[in-house]
Amino acid sequence: MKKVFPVLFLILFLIGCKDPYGACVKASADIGTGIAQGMKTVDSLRVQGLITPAEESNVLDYLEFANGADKAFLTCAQTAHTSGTKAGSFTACATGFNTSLNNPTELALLHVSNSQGSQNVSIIVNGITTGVSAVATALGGA
Amino acid sequence: MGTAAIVNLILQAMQAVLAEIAAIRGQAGITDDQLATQTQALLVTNDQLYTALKALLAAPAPKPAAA
Repeated sequence: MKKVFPVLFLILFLIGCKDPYGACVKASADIGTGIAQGMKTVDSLRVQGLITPAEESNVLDYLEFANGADKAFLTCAQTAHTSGTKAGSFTACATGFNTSLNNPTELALLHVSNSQGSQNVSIIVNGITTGVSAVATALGGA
Repeated sequence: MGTAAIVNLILQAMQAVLAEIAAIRGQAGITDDQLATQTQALLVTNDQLYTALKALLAAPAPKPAAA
């Protein structure tokens, strides 16, 4: 559980990165990896009895939503790269991703009653949202 | 094939994709486009795992064996 997310390491790697397309692709890969691990972890929490099947279903819905947002982010970055980099294009992709994840309707799916289960789910979700915010910051307007 | 078996197959496929991404992530000479392609494959596998896990949750609980 402690190493579900490599995202914080990604953040350190991205700071100072001068290749915005490469930064976006690496971020998308690492966030996608985190989502994969998150889905597996959430299922194991249900097997352990720390979250209910209904709670697992809701958290999976959030992770799938985040997965869709990651796909859109990757496509956005590829389009920005292919069409020639206009200042702000890549940052706009990351900002859009960030905004999607903070959708209140989706965030409402994350309620878990068991405190340990809730902590574990928070680790998963915070890893994603922190990573996406960090990418937007690291791109610095590129 | 039962739902749990499908989930296991998808998990195996996912592990393969994750291993591929981890392997190419640090390699010199790998292009961003190559990594993007592998990432797209991973995100598709995530979709498949989501669908399978949801189906597993919706499946009726197995009946206890008759005495």
